Amino acid sequence: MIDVSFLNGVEETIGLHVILSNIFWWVSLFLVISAYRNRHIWNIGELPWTFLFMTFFFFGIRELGHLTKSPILDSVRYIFGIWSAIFMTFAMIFIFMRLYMRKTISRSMIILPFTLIFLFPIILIYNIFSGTRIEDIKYIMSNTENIVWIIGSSITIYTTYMLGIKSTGGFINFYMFFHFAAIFAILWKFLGLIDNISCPVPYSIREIMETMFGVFAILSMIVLRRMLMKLSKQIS
Amino acid sequence: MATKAELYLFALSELENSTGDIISTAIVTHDGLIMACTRSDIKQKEIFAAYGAATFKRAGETMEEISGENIDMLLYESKNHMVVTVRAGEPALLIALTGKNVQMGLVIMNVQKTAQKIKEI
Repeated sequence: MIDVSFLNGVEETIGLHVILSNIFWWVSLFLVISAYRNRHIWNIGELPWTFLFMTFFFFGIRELGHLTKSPILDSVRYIFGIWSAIFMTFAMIFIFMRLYMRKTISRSMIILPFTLIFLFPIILIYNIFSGTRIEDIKYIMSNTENIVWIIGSSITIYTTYMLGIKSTGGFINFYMFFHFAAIFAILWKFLGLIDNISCPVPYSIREIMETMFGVFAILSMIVLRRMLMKLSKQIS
Repeated sequence: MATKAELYLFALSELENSTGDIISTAIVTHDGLIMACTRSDIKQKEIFAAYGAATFKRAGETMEEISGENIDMLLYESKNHMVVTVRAGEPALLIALTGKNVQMGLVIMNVQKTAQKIKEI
């Protein structure tokens, strides 16, 4: 029997977007590592670099989670998505504080993202041991991930915009692509949220948003890596 | 054999030694990345390079709009400081931050000489 909802893109599928997403995010991770080798050229400190790495690494793991249909693994997948959102947001906040606000990153600002990343697994474990049905846990974690991404992306839209207007050359493109990635992340997660709450949204639309999010994320890393590699060759 | 970065740094040191009251100098790309800088504070280095390049870019756009020509040098000053930025070849800018007790003509001449040296490197 033909699954009509599958053909119309109403429900989640393991299709082209999963393959593309995985490629984009894992290649982006490689690009971050490659750019990191020239970190002395763009010396924004170790922490933003580490956070950029974590952003792509955890989102890569999240995307690998698409390959399973287990509700418990899906819930764990959302945790990695939440971590990715937190690291992306704080990476850009730290760059913003350092380059735009000319402030030193305080100890409390360093502790805050790590406190947040520990909070969500605790919520998951609490739900598991409190006897909540696994479908409900998946629902809670999915909504939590949507909200965290919406908040995180909103902050990233602001920080990348402010950094972009103060930048020059290739850095304008780097921040602009990150800015677009954050816009698509908001759209993708907002559609996910309203889909979870009450209004069904065809999954194919969300797939496109998610893929575009990946496209702009990888573009930003390509620009950054190219700038650093070019200069590295020029001064060696 | 010395790397280009070391040669750039040597050129900057020469500029600072030949001209009094220069606080710091840097060679930066048009993206605002540092090629060489005499400033020791890493955080200030990045800001110096990023803002220096961005200012030159904006001034260049203004020059192109009002005169239809490319900018070659940018000079701006505050109560206690002065900044001179010149092109140093295709990929680079030379930025010099000076105090007020400096002869403007001498600074400009030495900065342009150094920019020429950097081009040749």
